[in-house]
Parts: sequence; C-alpha cells; structure tokens
Amino acid sequence: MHKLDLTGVACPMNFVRTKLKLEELQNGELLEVILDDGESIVNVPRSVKDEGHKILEVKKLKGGAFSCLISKG
Amino acid sequence: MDLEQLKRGGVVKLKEKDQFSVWVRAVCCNMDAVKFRKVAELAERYGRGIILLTTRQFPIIPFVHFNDLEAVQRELKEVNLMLDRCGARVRNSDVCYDSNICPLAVTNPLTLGEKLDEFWQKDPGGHKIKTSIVGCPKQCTSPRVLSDIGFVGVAPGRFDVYVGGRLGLRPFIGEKMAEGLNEEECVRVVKNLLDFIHRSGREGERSADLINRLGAEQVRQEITKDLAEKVDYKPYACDTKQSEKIGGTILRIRATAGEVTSAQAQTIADIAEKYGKGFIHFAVRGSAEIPGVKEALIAEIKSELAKVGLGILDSGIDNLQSCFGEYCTNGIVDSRGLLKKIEKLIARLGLNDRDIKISAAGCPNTCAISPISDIGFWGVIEPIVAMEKCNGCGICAKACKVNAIELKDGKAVIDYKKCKWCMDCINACPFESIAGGKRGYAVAVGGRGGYSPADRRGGETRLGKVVAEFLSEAEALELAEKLLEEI
Repeated sequence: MHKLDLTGVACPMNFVRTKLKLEELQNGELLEVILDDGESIVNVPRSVKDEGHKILEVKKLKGGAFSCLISKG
Repeated sequence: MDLEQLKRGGVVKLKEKDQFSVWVRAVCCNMDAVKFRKVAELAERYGRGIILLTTRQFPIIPFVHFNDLEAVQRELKEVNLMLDRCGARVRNSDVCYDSNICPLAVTNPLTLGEKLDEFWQKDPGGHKIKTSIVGCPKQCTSPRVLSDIGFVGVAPGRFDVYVGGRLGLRPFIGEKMAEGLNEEECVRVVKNLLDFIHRSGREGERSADLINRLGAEQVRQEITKDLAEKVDYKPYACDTKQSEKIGGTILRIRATAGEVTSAQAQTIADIAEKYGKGFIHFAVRGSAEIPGVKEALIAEIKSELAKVGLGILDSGIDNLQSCFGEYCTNGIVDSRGLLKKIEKLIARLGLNDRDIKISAAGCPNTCAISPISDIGFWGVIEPIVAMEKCNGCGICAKACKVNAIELKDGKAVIDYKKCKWCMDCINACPFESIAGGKRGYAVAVGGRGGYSPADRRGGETRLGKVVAEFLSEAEALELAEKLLEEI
C-alpha cells in the first residue's frame, strides 16, 4: 500500500498531490493519505470521489489528523 | 506543474473530471486590451472558448485541463498577468471607478486599493478576507455586504469603514466600525484586522464570525486601535489609473450570466483600444465596461458589437449575473440556463429599467449575489441520510457550515430547521451515504447592495426575503414574470 502524508498541506495542493500520486498507481491499488482536520478532510475525499476513485475507510488518528484509504478507480 | 505557485490559489476544480478554472487577477478590477486579448486566446486554446466575468470583478477561464494549468500560467506571465486568489486567503481589493472616470466619485478608490495590495502580496493564508473600496456613498460594488472590510468614500481621501460583510449560508451586513478615516488609517484598520484574526480567529473564521463570537465592540476596539501609527508598506502602481479626467461615457457591454466567448472578448479588447482608453473594467454584475467612449460614436460601436452578438446595457434591465452555476462542484441547478430564459422573458415584457437587478446562483453560497438583488435565485437541494450506509465518520458534520448535522448513536442526523439546502454534506460524505432528495430554486425578493436615494427603490443595503423554495425552472420563470409585472 502507498502512503502520502499531507498534514500541513493546504487546499488545493493537498488534492493536487493526491491526484498526482493516484496517477502513478494501477486501478485497484490502495493509497492511504493523511489529512488535517478541517478544510482538508472535508474537501480532499470529496474531490477524490469526484474523480471516480473509491474511499474505503476514514479513521481519526491520535493528534487530530485523519487517515483516508483510497482505492484507485 | 509548478505546485508551489498553486499554494497561492487561483485554480479551482470544476465538476467535470480533470477540469479546472483559472482565476486571472485584474488589478484595480481593470485589464488593458493586450492582456484581455491574451485571456481570450488562452480560453480558446486551452479552455472551451468562454470567459466568465465574476462578481469579484475579474475574468475566469473555465475548463482548463489539469495538464494545461502550467502552460496557461506561463503564458499569462508573458503579458504580466498572474493568478488571483481563492479559498481562505486575502483577496484582491475590489474597486468601483477611478475618480477621473466616474463623475459621482468623491475620492479615488484606486489610491487606497494600491496601498492595500501589500496585504494581498504577503498573505500567509488561513482566513478569507475580502476588501472593497467605493468612491462614493452610492456604493455600486456593495462593499457593506460583499466584503469583510468595506471602505465607503465620504469626502476627498476619507472613508467610512464597514466590517463583517459576506453573503452565502450565513450572510452578514457589515457594521460601521469607523467614520471619515484617511487612507493611512484605513491601511492600519486592515493590518489590525489581519493581526487580530490571525491571533484570535479560529480556523477558517471570517470577520463576521469574530463579530458574532466576540461582539462588535471588541472587534471595533481591536481594529481601530493605534490608528495614528503608520503601517510600513509598498504601494502597487495600478497601470490603468488615470492621471486626469477622461471625459466621454462608460460603455457597458451586456454579458448575460457574466459570460463572453473568446471572439466576443477579442472584439471588446479591440473596441477598448479603438474607442476607449485601451482598457476594460469588470463590473460587479458581470458586464464588461469601457470608459472614455465618445457618445457620438456609440451607434458605430453598437454595430461592431452586434457583429459578434454583443449589445450594450441601453435597454432591458441591468446585467443578469450568475456564478459558475452548473460547472461548479457546488452547483445544484443550471442557473446560467435560467438567466438565458429570463433574458427572453424581459425582452417579451419589454422592460426598460437598469435599476432592476436579477441574479441566479447555482447554490446557496450565492456567489452570484442573489440576496442583494431585486429578484435573486439560487439552487437548493434536500439532503437525506441513508442510515444503513452511514458509518458515523462525522465528516458531513464538519462540512456543514450551519451546524445542522449531529451524530446520534453513530449516525448523522440532519436538523432540517437549520439546513440551508446547500449540498456540502452530500458532497463531503466519502461513502455516498447522503443522497439528494428534492431540488430546485429558492427565490428571494427585495434585496439591494448599495445606497442610492436617487433611484426609486432607494434605501440601505438589505438582504432579500425568501418567498419560495424548491421551485422547478418552469415555476421559477412563472414567478419571475409575476414579480417583474409588479415591479
């Protein structure tokens, strides 16, 4: 599984970096992104979903950030 | 892809996959013909041959593919254009007209605008701060409600200051915080507000939130302190500022739904050079305006405009303004399509009154400034939680700007009395657990942005009253006809 830590990265950069990473992957491969609470966790999964990928899981981590598990669609 | 540049904003994702809009900065809300022609050319080459003129008074190139963003940015730079800002950042100062152009101006809004540019240049991000400056109390660009800090020119070099303005889901009409300040004091007020919001603001808060949470008096004390202490800044030189009275008239070109094609934009640029002062002003209601035109030549200009399907605002009502409408990730309805039908309705009714303002927005964020229009439409949708699919992650509750969602027993529960029908929760849910129920148009009546005792609906800035919700497009048109007959 691939992983991308985007804590401290604001919109729209957090989405752009997620998108670029997903482009490197094959369909069905998994990517875990770590996102800040607030604007990031509200916007990034939404944009990822809009691009046709699937969100499998969202987990709150210690320290307040979120882990979001994406399957490339 | 210059990712670093993107951090500053100015590129906004659209609903379609891989499609973005590029926001082009228009310093002092003007752009010279050479630059505007470049925008038209880029819209043709990389977009879909259309340009949107926004209520924030700059052009947007929609439908640029992700892979072309870098090229567009590079080509803009060739003519000294740069991206504007979006999101939680200090925005470009909006202004009305130069006092050497507008006969009503009591002071030049551009001079203060130049001084505030520093805050745009050096913004660290985190809070949306819109500023707006008008040259007279008529307030054509509605600074009291469209900006966090609105400056209203009241005498040469003197401004009243309003703080807290915004539309959207939690609209707020700015409160008067100071009177008759000089320009250096106005710069200090902006600096004070920025310092205060970075120090005491919660994540994403705007000036209206500070007033709601801490009270107007505390905000007033914070932002009006140390007024005599001069802020050190470097003013920007607006390249379209006029050094003397230019004479002639302002040619207002109609752009229904704030949209012009690349070919039309090329013609507008040509006319600005041939008949005007070589630049275009972007007005808040989406018209493209050319100052300094000789009245005797208007008939000739009209025939040139007609060749590309353009007209001027000399009949019908004021420019019909929209936002991205259905192109936007938040878009619920085709507000642009509705306005094109309303345009036909106005022609059929034979209306002829530029004081009448109509706007239609795709969603309740009302970027098309619907609530300060005589008749304002916006799209609404009813969210419905599928309890069996909801896993209680709580992202919808974070996305909801009006706190209408609570988690009860690990499931999202929507309080429909608070809901503003905006679709944020539907969009934010990662698991498609919130579906859209009924959708349609909300209609508000009687809003106004500025103050003009001269016009027959004169009065203070006020928000329209919602008279209907969830209308179909046909019902919205029917209501528009009834309302227009009454007006």
